[in-house]
Amino acid sequence: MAIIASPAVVLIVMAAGAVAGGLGSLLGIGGGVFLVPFLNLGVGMPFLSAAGISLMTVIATSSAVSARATGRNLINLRLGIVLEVATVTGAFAGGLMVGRLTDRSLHVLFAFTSAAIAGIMLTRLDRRNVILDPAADPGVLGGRYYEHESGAKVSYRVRRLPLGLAVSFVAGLLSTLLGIGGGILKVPALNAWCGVPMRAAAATSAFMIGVTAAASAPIYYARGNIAPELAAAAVIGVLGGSRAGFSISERWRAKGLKMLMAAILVTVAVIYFLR
Amino acid sequence: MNGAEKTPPQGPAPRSSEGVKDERLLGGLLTAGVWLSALCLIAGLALTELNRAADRPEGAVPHRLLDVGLVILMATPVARVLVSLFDEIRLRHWVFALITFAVVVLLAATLSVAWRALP
Repeated sequence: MAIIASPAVVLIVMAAGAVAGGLGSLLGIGGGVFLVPFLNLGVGMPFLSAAGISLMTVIATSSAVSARATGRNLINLRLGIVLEVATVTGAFAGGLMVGRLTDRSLHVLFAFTSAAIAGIMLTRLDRRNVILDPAADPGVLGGRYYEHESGAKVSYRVRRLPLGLAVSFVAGLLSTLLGIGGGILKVPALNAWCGVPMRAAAATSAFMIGVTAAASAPIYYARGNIAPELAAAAVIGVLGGSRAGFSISERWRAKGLKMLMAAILVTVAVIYFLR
Repeated sequence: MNGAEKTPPQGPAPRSSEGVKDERLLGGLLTAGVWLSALCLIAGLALTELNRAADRPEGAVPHRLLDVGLVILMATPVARVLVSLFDEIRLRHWVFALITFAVVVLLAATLSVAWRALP
């Protein structure tokens, strides 16, 4: 069932993109996990079209957010490229499966993933992981940046890299199959297990998801799953929404919103599970 | 897990100032990619809707603009990996050059899968 890109649908998709982008930057996650079910269940697009369009917005978010974050040494380019080997391998594996899985299995996978994301969002730890001595050796993959809270330069070292690689592979695979960025899976893992401070983990992950999605979006695009008009509308919406969300998020505490969104994600999980 | 970890022995100096310079270059590339693609997408979408509103046939130009916008969007992260690759080669950091090259190969592999999927 193809969706006709009427002006009304274009506007709805653009608005959905804006809301998803805004929520994404308020909650510190990409908006894909909200956009895909809205396009699929709300607008009635086939799952593959929703996932493909969402991947386009993931790339846009990644490039826009990373461009804003550069120059502060928060993005760990080297850790990023090492983990990208794993995410892009996951994306490649996922790309080979695009169009071969049944809608039912994609729905169940999405249900489990969004339930897991709801859980992660509510229980997310924030480990500091920093070495206060700015002269400390961060190792080959670690980093050093100016930490606002302590008003000083801090360092961190990367631990348990294989675990980070494994999580990145899964994140890349799920990103391709479900049309989400996958940052919500990588960031807590990097923070809790691999010794990366939250901000550096978030900035590095936001930087990485663009490459991951750039490995899978062309497959959806070439298969004809992405209607260019609707993708354009979603991308423009997400860019505007994430910008707005970013400026609100500096003044807002997102606790109540987090609970609400977790509730929405659980509802989405239940709907997909029952379909 | 607390702040006061023991300080490991001093190793090679990290390339922090270099890192910021690289980051700024990449930031410029990403900004350019996002803006260029957004402009094409906005123009393509606006022309498509104007044609539709005026009951004109859909022209080739709006379609091209939308396609070009999406291709620029998808190409931007690939371009930044290539920039990183050249950077690592220039600095003779062979291990990271090799790792970055592996990402380039994987991206090329997914592009070839996409190419074969073209109708």
